[in-house]
Amino acid sequence: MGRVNRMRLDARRVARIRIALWVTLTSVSLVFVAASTMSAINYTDVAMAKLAVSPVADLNITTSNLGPSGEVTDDTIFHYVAYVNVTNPSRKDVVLQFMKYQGWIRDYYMENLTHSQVPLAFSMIVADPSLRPTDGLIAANSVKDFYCAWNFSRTDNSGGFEHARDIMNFALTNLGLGWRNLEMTHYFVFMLKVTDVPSDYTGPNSGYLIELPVIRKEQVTTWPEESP
Amino acid sequence: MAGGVALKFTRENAIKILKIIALSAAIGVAVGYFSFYVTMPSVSVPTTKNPSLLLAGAILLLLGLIVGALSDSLETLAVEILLGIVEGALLGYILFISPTFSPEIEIPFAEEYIFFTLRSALPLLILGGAVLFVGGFFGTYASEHMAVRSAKSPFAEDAVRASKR
Repeated sequence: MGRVNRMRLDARRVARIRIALWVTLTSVSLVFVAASTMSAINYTDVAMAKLAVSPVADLNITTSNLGPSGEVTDDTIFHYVAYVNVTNPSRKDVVLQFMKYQGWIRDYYMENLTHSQVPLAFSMIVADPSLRPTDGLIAANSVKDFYCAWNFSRTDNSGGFEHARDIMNFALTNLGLGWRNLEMTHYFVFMLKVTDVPSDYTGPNSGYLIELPVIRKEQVTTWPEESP
Repeated sequence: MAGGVALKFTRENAIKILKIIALSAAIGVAVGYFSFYVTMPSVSVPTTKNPSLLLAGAILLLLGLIVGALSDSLETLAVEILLGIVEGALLGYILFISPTFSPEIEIPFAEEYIFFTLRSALPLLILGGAVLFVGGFFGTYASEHMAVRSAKSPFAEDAVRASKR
């Protein structure tokens, strides 16, 4: 009889077990509620960073070895300096991975050849000098400046340079426009990334996870600004 | 009466309904979190590179056991799990569009997110439901087994009084 009683579960113990189960369930649910809330906040912060981070490039171009009347010679070098100011008002640290630049010049020569059938012909003159900063980290709620310099010369990019030289010299000879007065378009691409979000996913359906922390911003400026 | 039994609004029925709501909410919160965790592991908390479906399954199994042990019967368990899955899908969707609730971000409501969330989380919702039901079945069985044994206990009446206190 005593053995049977020992084998029987005490009803008080059952009630205690039920209370313990309710407490456990409530605790687990609270953990899930907390994890869900923190996930939503984290996701919102990442989305906020993607929208709010704004890099702005200020470009300065100077030349050396121009010809006596201002024409572009084979020895001319265009010195590009870009000051990039990145504002990060978000709660996430972001890192500037690289910046790419492409320059376009209005192709007066081509427009003249085609008798204005192409009203605005632009030719790419510089392709992809990339700024890869060693310390590209922009902390949350902060602003950081970057500096990037490169040259555009015959030795750097012979095809592009010769094309630009011909356009500039044509404009100078036929239209009386020096290279500073030519219509140019400067196109910057900035690639940034939210630091604490993994992106090295593989698999056919992981494209959105790879793209999630990536911030891609573009800037297009035209010289002169009030061009017709 | 043709074809049904009228549900009287008694204290016992109210408690039963509240219990179903509470248990389904517990399932819904877990399923909702896991559907987001599986779909967006890189921004969920804790952040992970590879979401562990095994861990999610194990936790859902344990949750099923607990919910099953607290359920009145297998029928109510099925109702709780189905309600919980629906609530979980809804919570997963809310988590997925959570940035749109921020006043600083102006993103138009995107209906395609509903389908994206459902498509991404559907395997988890189906498997999660199955795992919860398996866990719940054993939990209910264990609970009924304990109840039968405790009913035979000489302390049963004391226990009823103690639980009412």
